[in-house]
Amino acid sequence: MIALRAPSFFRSLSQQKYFIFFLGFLRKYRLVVLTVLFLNMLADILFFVDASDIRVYGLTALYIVAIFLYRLKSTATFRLALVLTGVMFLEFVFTRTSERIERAAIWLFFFLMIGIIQQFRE
Amino acid sequence: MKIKSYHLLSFVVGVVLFIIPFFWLKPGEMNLGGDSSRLYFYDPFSYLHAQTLYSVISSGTGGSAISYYAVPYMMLLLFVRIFLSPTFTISFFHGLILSIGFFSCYFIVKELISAERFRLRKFLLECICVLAGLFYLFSPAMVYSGWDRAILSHIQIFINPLMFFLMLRYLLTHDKRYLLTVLLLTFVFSLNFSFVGAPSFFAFYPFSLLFLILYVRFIRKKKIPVKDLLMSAAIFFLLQSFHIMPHILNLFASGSDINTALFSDKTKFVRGLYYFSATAPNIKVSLSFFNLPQVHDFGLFSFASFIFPLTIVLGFLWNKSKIQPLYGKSILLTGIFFLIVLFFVSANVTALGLTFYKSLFYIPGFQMFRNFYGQWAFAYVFFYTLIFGQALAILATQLRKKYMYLTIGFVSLVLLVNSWRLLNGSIVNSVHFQSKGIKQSIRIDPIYEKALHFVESLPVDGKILTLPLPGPGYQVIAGKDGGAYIGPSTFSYLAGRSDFTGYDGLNPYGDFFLQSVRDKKYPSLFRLFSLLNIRYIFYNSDPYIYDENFPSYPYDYVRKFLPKDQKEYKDFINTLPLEKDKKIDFGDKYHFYPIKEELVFPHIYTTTKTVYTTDPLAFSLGSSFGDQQHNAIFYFKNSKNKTDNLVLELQTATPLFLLKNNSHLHRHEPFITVKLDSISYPFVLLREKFELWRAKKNHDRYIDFSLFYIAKRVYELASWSEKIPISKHEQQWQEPKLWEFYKWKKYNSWEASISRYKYAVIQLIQWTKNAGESKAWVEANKIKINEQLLQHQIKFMKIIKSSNRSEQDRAYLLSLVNKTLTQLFTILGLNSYDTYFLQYDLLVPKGKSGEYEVYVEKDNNIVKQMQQVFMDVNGKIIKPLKQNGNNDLIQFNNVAIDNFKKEKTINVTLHIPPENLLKNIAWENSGDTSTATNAGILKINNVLGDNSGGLVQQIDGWKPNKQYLISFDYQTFGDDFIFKVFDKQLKGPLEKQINGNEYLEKNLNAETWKTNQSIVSADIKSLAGFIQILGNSEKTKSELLIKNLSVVEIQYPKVFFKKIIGLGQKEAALPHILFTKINPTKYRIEVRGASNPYTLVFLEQFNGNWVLQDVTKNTKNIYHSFISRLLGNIGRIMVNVLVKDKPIENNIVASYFNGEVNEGFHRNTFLEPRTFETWGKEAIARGRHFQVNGYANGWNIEPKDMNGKTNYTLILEMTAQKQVYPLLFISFLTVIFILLYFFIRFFWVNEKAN
Repeated sequence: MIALRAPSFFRSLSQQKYFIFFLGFLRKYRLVVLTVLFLNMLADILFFVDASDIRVYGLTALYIVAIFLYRLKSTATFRLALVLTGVMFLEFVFTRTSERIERAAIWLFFFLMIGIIQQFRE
Repeated sequence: MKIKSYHLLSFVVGVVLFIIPFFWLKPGEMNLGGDSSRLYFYDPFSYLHAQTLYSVISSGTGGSAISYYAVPYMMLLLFVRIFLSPTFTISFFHGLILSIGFFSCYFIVKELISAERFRLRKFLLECICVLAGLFYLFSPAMVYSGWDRAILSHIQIFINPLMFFLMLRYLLTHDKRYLLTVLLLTFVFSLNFSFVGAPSFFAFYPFSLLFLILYVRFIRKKKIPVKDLLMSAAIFFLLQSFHIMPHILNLFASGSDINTALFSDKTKFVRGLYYFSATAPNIKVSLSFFNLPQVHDFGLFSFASFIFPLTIVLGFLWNKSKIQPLYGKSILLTGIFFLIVLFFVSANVTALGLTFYKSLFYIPGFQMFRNFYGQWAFAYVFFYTLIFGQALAILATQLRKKYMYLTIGFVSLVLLVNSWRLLNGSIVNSVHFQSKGIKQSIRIDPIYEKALHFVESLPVDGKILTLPLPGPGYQVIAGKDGGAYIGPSTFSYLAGRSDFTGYDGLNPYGDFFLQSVRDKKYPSLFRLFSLLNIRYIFYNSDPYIYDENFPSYPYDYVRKFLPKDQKEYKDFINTLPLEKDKKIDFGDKYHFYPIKEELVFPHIYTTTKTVYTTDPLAFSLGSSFGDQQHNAIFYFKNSKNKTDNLVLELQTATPLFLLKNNSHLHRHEPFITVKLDSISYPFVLLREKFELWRAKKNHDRYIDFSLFYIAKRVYELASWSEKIPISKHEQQWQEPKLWEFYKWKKYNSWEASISRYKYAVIQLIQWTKNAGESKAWVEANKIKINEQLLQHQIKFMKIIKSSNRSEQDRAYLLSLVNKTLTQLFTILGLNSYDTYFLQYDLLVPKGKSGEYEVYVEKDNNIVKQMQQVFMDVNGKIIKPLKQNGNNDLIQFNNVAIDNFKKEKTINVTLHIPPENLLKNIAWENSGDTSTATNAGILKINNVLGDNSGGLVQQIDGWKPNKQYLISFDYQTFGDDFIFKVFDKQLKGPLEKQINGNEYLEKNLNAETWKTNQSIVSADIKSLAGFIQILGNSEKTKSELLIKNLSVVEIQYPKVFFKKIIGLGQKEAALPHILFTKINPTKYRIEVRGASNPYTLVFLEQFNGNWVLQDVTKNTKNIYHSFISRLLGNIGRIMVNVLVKDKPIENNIVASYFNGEVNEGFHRNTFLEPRTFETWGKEAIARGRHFQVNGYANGWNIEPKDMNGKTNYTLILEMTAQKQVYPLLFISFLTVIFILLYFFIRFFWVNEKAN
């Protein structure tokens, strides 16, 4: 059996250092990570044919991790909810009741829920 | 609080909202009808007296029901009606709903916002609160909440927020006046806290109370007065005890309404979960966010509703800003409750959420939320209102004044547009569903009112059949100036007279009635009139309520059987056994026809002619066994004596009988979304396995699910036919294991699909054989599978033949499919069906051995071939005897049945040679493409895609609703042909158009002679049947040899075994009775000359709570007897103060059966001292109270029941009604105590202090 080998750069680091490096990487590129995360959510709404719980719950879990990692405030969550409301509105204007508008509504539901809990904690 | 000028706005809006409904209806008009009838607005006193006060259903065959939850509300209506006309009463209550609903929401939002201490101008704050109140009322869920024919619980629109507001005030101020007002209101509007109001109660109150407690305790930091709340819960229980206690007492009584509603699997799943699963996919979370209607069209400017979610999101975003740093938790708490209720109202928050929602249906009682979006809508809009009001206030702190007013103006405009149909009254004045513009609001025709009074004043008991008969249990009456009432019977709900107003109301005889009319089986129909205690036919000859105005609903189903229009109805009326000379007319539309006297059965009668049989319902209607005059037909298992008259009807055990509804021809056409090469496809298969596992206990459901999933394999190939590769490795293909899902691409090939299809069919065949069901069931399902395989064969051929693949590939696929199907047909091993042998099961109860006479229902085919007909009873052959007279039964030789220790099933086979309906085979060309050279050789020109050509043969003697076996031998020399069976049917408006309907389509292909057999059940609307043969070959001309073509009507004549009882059964002298109706739950019966056992029959829906009581004898249970009599005596003394007993009159107003049964002048007395005469008294013949005639009550009474007395009085009473009196007393007493406390605590003490 062939053992999985990490690239040489990482092999030189201990596991703990590897984790710290990874965290540092995530922290350094906060805007990029959050943008990618949110774009994934938008992609889920706009480009997939079917709804998927794996995508919704997976991305939501990642967003919750991001909240802790980046110490995001509730206002950030509500701003994203505002964008989702806009997406929902545009979808409604053009398609009335499509699958996409439903997915946007579900994302809005989750963002409101997360935002409210965040604001309670704040 | 001082009244300021800015308060004027809310005051003006509230007053305007109260006034608006007064413009909705013209003077004299009422919007009546619907499930609750709303007749209580028209005449609350009659409604209360005829319907609300009694624990029985006042229409149809009767039954038990609790409707006294509405007593306080009816009393309120009675009070209002003293001052207002029915029209103004309706408008007044509409006005109350709007204005109180508005004010409640206005004050709640004001309380929530004020506590946040926003720095807002007073007028702006006022505008926001007013807007919140309007938002609540004018949300689409409220606008489309059924204002047109509102049910009783519709008043929750104002009750819910009012209760919330009063409780909020109480918890904040601890002022008990609020709490007492809440308690009094729960009593007045007790219907909203009753069993029927449970969905609205449980959707709103638990969450609202939790919200209030959390809000008051954690946001407003006030103490919760737990003791007071517990005390008020106890008082609430006492106040509601008059309708809650009967349910609690029956909670664990098997078969009771409440027990069935909570614990029955049928209610939980069939009525609950399955209904929910069918409706849930249509409900959108997005529409809930936009606050738009779910199942209605929304207007052009619906996009403007975007302002609502936008306001909420902005509210959260700007919450807790620098302006009010210490506050802001109120909107957060509201937000959490808003989202929870949003989840419940929309259900579709992710697939996991939906699965969780479905799992809630396993909780007893949760099935009340099957129509979830309607039942949670009120709670949802309420919490939306709270959050919207608070969000607007936050917006006001952030936006400039002019932008804020612009926002308020825009929201007001959106709400105005949304609610315009409600405001201008067009919702209340809408037209009836599927009618030709017939309005719902009506003025009652004064001539009809006279008819109503006539019914009310009829001195004798007896029921009415209302014609024309609609589908649901509704009556249709035209208004004086147009419009129509469609709702429960006015005779039952206002005149207190049992009335059969619809097919549903005729239950359990609804189907029998329709079929008898269609087949013109008048003797059975007339017998039904007797059995149902029908005394009058009320015929409404108005064409306005039947003909063109209502082409569909509410007559769509029944019109297939009944006269199509009023002209035909008049002819139908003329065929009925009516005393036409005694007809009573009211105007030229309303006619009462008494039924011929000899056919009228009294409501209560005695008999000694009892029969114990297998199917009392059918037997009581259609038996040919001797005299049918007022006998009593019991279920055979209730027979206790050896000398009982026993007639056993055999159960059909022929497989074809199980397919009478054409279920084997069902076409599964699944909608396919997941591609075979999708990564999620393995999960599709996994889910199917899971669903099958869940259905495994319900064998019929398992078969249907399996066939549906098997059809999916075929339709997957049809959906992506060209894109699915051919691997040509058929032998090697194996389904990947679940953990091998990285091989998902392997799922995508023709071979994989066909192999999967084959595996599923084999699994199903084996499961069917091993299901442990009867032989007939297994055979019937094998036929079902066979028919599905034949359907799939055609589908496969169509997919492959229409494919763009190379000829070689198509040939390969065709051979692959043919090979698979040939294997499957072999594994299925279906034998040919033979209608010569009809199998039956005879269930012989324990201790019923002896000699039996054998009878078979007469049938033309049997009569014609009497010589060949015989019956095999457990190996013994018996033949028909020589027939004498014109009896409907053919008697066979007698059979002796041995004694068994337990009940036993004996197999019986009836042999009747089948008769071929096709006397002369004459194929006709359909189009000019085919020729039939002689009866055996068919030559068909093939035109690809032409379904109208080929040869057609009409089936002689084709009748609707009959089952046929079509069989023939054929040889096609390798060419494909299509064989079809179709008919002509009546369809369209008023069932007057003729349409074609295809039953089946099969592929014929045989190198050597092969037999084809098909079973078809003709539809009830079928006029003529045809068979058709079409070419399906790529050749231009092909030839088919056909022989032994036959079409046989499959009959299942009824077979009876009648026990010979010798000298034991002797007709005994019958007692004479005089019965008098006291009220719908109580009858007095004077019995004279009862020296022998007899049966007392009461023609009302069977219910164990109907008991016969001897008022001279106390109950054996001393403790129970003493307590009951004590309470009864207290009740009698108390009532005696208010009202005196009415004298017992023995005047005879009607006489039946040569004076054997007499009827006294019936009355409707709810309360008199004599009401308590049966308390603590002995019930007689309780263990001998059985269902009789398939629905009614029968008691076998013996002389010992009355200690050998021959003349005595019995009271027949619905015992559930006894609970009403003490419980109503407790509830009213509690109200009096509350009022006294209120007065003493807040007026007298205060005055004294001053």
